[in-house]
Amino acid sequence: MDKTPEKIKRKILIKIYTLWFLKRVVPLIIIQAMILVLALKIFANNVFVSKVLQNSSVAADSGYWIFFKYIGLAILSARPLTQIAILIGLGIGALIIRDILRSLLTYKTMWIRK
Amino acid sequence: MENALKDEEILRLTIEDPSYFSILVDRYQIPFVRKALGVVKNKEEAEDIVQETFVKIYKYADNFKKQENIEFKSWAYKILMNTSFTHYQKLKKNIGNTEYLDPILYEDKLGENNELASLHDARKAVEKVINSMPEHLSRVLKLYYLDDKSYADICKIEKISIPTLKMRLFRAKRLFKKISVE
Repeated sequence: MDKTPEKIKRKILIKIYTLWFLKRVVPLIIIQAMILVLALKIFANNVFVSKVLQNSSVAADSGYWIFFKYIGLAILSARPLTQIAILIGLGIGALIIRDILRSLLTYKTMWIRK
Repeated sequence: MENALKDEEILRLTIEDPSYFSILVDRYQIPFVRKALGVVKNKEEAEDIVQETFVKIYKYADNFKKQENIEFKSWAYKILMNTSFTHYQKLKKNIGNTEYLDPILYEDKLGENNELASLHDARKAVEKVINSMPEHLSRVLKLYYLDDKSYADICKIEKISIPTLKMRLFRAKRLFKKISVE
């Protein structure tokens, strides 16, 4: 059987995937990363992170429920700007994970679809 | 089920999900290689052309979306032919004696005149014949056979009706044969 068409198809699909990744995914991830950095910066400026970590380790020793309660209360009692930064950080983080998974899934599907 | 999708729909889907592009590659890869081979007469070169063509198709998929009433097939073949001729021009510069001919014209010419010693002679002869024809006839011949345009496209370009085009093509082919024999 002639393997050449499969070889060319593979080359073409790799090029198409690279193009799609650079054109569609990379700019999106760059923008998301920039927003995430900004959110983290705001968060770091307003929260004494090492203290929070110290307290959370103490809370974690007391059990999961106490730990999550502590985290929840810490967020609720934070300033509105910090709360917004946390929400944005979590949202953007989720979007980045979604984009990475989507890229992996698309790459896998490229060789399966007929 | 995806096989039932039209080319145009698949192209639209590839913008968001490039995995659909493999369906287009499956459909057009072999005919594209055959067509490119008709221009450059070199398998490796033809395969490069096909790869470049598919990349261009994906790159300009957004442009295709904006154009109405255009079939994917004719649009894709147009890209293929343009890419093939660009490659041919490069080859010609690098090698100097690369041959290209549309298979139809090439076979026509060889069939008419067996004493042509080589492809090089055939190419020269075909060019000479086309150049010696009246412009309105050589134009439709080039558009139909070399540029691979559809009847509808040529009619639009030339601003003529389909029966007129058919008559012109018939006359052009007849004249081509006549001049070739002479």
